[in-house]
Amino acid sequence: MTVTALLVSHEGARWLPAVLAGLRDQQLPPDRILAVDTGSGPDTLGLLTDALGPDAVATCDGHFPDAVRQALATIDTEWVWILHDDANPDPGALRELVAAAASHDADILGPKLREWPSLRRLLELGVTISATGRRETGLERGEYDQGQHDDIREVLAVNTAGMLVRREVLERLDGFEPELPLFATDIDFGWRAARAGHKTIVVPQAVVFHAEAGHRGLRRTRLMGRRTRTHRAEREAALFVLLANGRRLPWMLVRLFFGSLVRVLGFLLARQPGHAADELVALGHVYTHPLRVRRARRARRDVHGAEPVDVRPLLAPWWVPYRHGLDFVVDLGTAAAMEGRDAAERRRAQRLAAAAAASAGSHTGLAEHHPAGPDDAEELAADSGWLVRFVTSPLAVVSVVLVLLALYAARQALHPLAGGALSPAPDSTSNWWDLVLHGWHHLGQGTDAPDPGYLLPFSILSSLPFFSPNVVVGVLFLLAVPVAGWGAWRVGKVVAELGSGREASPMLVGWAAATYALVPAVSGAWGQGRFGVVASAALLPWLAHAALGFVEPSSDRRWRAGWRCGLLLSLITAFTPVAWLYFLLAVLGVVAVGIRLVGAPMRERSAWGPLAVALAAPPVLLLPGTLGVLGHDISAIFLEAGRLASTPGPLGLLTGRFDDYAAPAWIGLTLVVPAVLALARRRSRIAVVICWVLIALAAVLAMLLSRITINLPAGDARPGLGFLLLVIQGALVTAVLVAAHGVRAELRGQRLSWRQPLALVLTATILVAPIAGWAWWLAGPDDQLDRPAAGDVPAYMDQVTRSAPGRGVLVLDGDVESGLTWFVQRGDGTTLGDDEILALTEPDTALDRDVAALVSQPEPDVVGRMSGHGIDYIVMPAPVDPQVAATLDAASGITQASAADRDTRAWQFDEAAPADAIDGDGPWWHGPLLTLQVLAILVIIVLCGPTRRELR
Amino acid sequence: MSATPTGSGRRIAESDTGGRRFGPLVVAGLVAILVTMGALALQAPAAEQIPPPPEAPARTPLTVADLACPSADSSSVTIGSDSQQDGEGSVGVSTGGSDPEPVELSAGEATRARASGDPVVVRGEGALAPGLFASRYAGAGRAAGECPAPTGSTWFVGVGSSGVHDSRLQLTNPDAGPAVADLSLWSTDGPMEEVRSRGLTVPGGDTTTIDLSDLAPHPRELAMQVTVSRGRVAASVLDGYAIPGQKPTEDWLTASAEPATKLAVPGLSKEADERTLVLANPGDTGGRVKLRVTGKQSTFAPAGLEPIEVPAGQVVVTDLTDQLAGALNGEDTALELTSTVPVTGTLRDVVDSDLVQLPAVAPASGRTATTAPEKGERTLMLTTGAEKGGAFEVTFVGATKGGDWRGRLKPGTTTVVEVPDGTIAVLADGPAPYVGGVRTRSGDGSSFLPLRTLTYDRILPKVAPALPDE
Repeated sequence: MTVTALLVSHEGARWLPAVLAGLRDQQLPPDRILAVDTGSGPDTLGLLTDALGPDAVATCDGHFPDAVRQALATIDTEWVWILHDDANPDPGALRELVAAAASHDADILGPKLREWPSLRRLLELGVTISATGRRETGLERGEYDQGQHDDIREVLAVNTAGMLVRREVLERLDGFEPELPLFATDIDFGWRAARAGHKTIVVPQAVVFHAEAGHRGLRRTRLMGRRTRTHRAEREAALFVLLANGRRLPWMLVRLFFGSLVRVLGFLLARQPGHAADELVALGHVYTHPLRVRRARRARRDVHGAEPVDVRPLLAPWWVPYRHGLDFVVDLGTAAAMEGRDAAERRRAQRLAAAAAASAGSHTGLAEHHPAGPDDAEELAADSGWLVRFVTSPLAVVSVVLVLLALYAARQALHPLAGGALSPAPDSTSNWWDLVLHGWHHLGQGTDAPDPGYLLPFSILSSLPFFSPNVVVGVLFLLAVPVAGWGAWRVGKVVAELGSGREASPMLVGWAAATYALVPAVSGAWGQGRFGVVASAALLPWLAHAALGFVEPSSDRRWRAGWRCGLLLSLITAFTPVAWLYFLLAVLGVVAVGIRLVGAPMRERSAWGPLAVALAAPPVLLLPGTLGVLGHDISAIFLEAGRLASTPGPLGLLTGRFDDYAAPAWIGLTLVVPAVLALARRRSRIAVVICWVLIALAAVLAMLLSRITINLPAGDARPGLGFLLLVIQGALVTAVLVAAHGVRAELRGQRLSWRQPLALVLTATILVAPIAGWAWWLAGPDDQLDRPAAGDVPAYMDQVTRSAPGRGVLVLDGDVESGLTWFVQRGDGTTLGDDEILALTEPDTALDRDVAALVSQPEPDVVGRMSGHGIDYIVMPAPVDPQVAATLDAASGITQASAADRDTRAWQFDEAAPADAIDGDGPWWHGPLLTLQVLAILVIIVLCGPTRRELR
Repeated sequence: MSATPTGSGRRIAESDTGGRRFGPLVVAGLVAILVTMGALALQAPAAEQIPPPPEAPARTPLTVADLACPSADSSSVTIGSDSQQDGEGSVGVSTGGSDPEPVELSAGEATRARASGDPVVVRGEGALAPGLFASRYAGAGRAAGECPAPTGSTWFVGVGSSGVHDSRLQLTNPDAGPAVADLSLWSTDGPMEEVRSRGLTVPGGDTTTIDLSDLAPHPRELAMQVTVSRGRVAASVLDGYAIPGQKPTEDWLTASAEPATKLAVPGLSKEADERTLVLANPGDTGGRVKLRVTGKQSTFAPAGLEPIEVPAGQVVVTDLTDQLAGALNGEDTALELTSTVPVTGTLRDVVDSDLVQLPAVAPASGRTATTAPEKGERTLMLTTGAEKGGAFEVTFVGATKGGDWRGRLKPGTTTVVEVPDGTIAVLADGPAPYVGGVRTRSGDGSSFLPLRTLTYDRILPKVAPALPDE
């Protein structure tokens, strides 16, 4: 068996000496050694010439396939052993390969490839390709060689590094494919050989150490200008191989096209837009050069004839691409879940390091202080089952109990709710989608006022299976308190560590979480149906947690904090718009103070950039509303979600209470004094001062806003202060939380003085708030929420109004002495999301005049005009003013209609209103802005995502 | 202290600057607290959103007024209009939905117009509509009945549904479309439940007559409320007495006031053979009614005049003949009713074996009017309330001489003024709450028509759009 070793090199001066030494040390030396260089510098050539002699070294102007073809002409041995300049063969490699060639009837043999630096990790043992074009080795990444794959087996292809191939096979197949100079050359060759009937086996006993230079991008070739473009070339090569060698071309074209699009989406989700672009470019390149593929296929058909061998058993199984997809999704999820874990690990490591440094000179010995925190507990019990860990952790039990109690106390939300500031939910999701997608709303007399910002997330949530508008409202009210508590727990742990410099005490953080979680309920927001404040209360701790990312040292994390803050702030602004104003002032303050205190680092773009992004996100993410409200009263931006409700006074802000349906106010005062006294604690002073500055900012903003009157068409209103109330309560809780850390440790050793009783008193004081609050809430207090009451409008009129928006019911209320009020009910009445639109709508003065004429002197032309206004019926609920009723009775063109009960009067206009009576055109910019908004939301969601570890 | 590491904010908690006792941080914190308290102090108090403002209605002069006259033996209707408007106006009388026949009338005047004996509708339009009033007479002033305007609720106390005393209710609908009225009846035994909510339909332009003895037979006096649930209906009651051994008579029963706690019954004659007070208490609680007599000089409670207990939902018939026998001192007086619960009533006098029904009237100040019959001895009685008196002015419309009368009336007194010849209608005006009426006495019998407040304006309710909050 004669063997020629063919060494193809390209700028491999780094590894060449070792390769040459390896060749020399072969136990079975090759009969001849040839080297072809494809364009290296003089040192490589010099090395080769020195080692092999000048006539064994040739140069070639092309790439690897051209080099092989050129050398093939001068080879006359039976076998050719191809080596790369970064493939160092083990001394027994060639011997094993030749022995296997003799005993097995194979035409191509490949060695076991092991990683060069480590020498023990497996790289390849034969390679195949999956249906999506991914190179499959069948090995785990970084798998150590423990002899687990040591059987000689048939494979589709082997790597060209260390390949032993018959010369006649090479000649028959015309060497390697010239269209694949760098990547997938081996797979294509092996595939072609298999279809032509040649057998390829892998011989694990022969070992070659491969540095994988071309693959890892360490080699600078003419093809690769930059390292990062390996992905594109790889992908292009894989696509070409599949299309050139695959069986059913049309099916493969379609499948590869859509498969590439899915991969593009995956890369975008993983925040690797470069790779996504690479995929698209590769796809485009291959598909726009169909002649290459056709030529390649024809060449192959010439080789293997009409009946090629079926190579399907050698290809990767069909489920491999799906498993990779599943791995990708699991990866993303794990990365998201591991986020907090990483931050906690970092913090704990730093804290332990600081403790070790401090314990050298301090007598408290924090290093020995190993509290059984949740991190440690989880670490210690990492091997036990989760149930054991759950039951033995008092924290977990308490939190579950509290969550269950919260769900029980909020059980009213299990049935449809309405009342207070909460209008009843519409019948179906399509009502909400209509409001969101169309610029013209069939409400009142038809209006183009913008829909509220929270309708888009509500609509999306409500479109999920098993969800409906009532379910969305119920979920919001049920889960607000648990979600607020969870968020408060998460942010409490971080803030406690940052602010007090000590490890977060689970009891104190638990107290903070329990106190804050209750704020939506005890403040009366829950009972009054202020769903905007309730939603903001649940989201505020998550926003605070994201905002803490602004103080991270890493710029990447700061930017990510900016995106996350932007998204959460937009969501909160949709519910309570004052949040954006507050954030604006806070950011301006932070930047000003930062420039003053820190100077130059604050001016860097990565310092203030994320803040600016977080500020700019809400107007963009709430686009149609942002622009739409400009055409109406711009100060109406600051109205809270839901029906107009009262604003709290100064005492209400301090104690965290809206006026009615709230827990007793004195409970709220129990937080204020401890928060003031928290200034006295030295270690946590900065954090407490920051909290109080935030409170002061909120109070000042509340003072300014409470003086502003918003002139709505229907009357005057005041901006909603609910968000400021939440901020004040959250900041008070945070101040107490941060300052209370370490009190026990400090006081333990000291002798009895005024400090201990004071600490006891303060502890008792701060415990009052959560205990009394929970007791009050669990006792089931009165609230304004109840099942939506049937209106005064009879059921058959409801059906008519639902059938067409142009047919409405005019509802008159009041009496002659104190004035009558009217409104027009359309569709399913005024439901959630309609109130804000109606509040911004100018009343129709023509209709007002006509209604005034109708109730005092209904002339026939007035009656006739009503159908043009889109009104079919008149309803007067009890108590009915007899004069108005008599006037309407006497009018011609109006006939009596039956009402639900005797005390309600109803009339019907003889002329029915047309179904399009209130049709109109929305603003032209609604559609484009909506598209822009959706795109911005998608982009920011992707940007918020956690980073996956790069796989390549 | 340990060296302060630079870098991330994670270390700021351990830095040095928080160490001093009153360092800049403490000052900053105290300033923040003070700013907070200051801002809270300056904040506007809690505010309700958009309180709806109540708005008083506007008033414009009436342009159309309808009055419904009950059927009568006579063929005339006395119509007057106390309008101060200038401009075009017309008055017409129509029967049963037919076209109205015009009547010659000018503002501030009264006339006796020809009309059929059937129920008629008097319609005033334009400048004559404000202050329109009308009545009918039967016999030479023996029986007098007013022509009421359609109203939502009318009370009749002292109707009967027995064989001896039978009342007939006449409901007139002046509009084109149908109207629906309900009756509620109370008897001496309590509310008559089974005839509540009858839903009586009166066709457009038509009159429906209902015999109470068919509807709700009861041996004793009843009180009745007519409420209109749809359209407009004017109600009148014809009372028929068929006392055995005497000639059957028929008179109109004038509507009493809405139940109130202070009412007056004007027009008591000097002598009467019988006086019967019928009181109705339609409410849920029983009460007590105190009676006082308003005489020429003062209001007094005669000895022996006991307060009357009125149980809830019942009609109480009290014979006051003996109690008032000597107490009236031969004066024309009025009866003042003060009750603990809202009541209404009628006083039935039998004078010269003729029945005179005197309704309870709510005192009111301002302009009032009534008509006077052609023949008979006619006197005007004015009774002021106990609190206030004042200068009163009376105009006798159509009088040949002495058409004006002015006088200063003391509070709590009854004043009697002779009605001069030729008077068709009487217009009174006074600053204090008062009641009164025109009593007619003739050979055939006596009758009394109370002074009624006139309607000049139409109330235009203020209409405003509302935010739906339900």
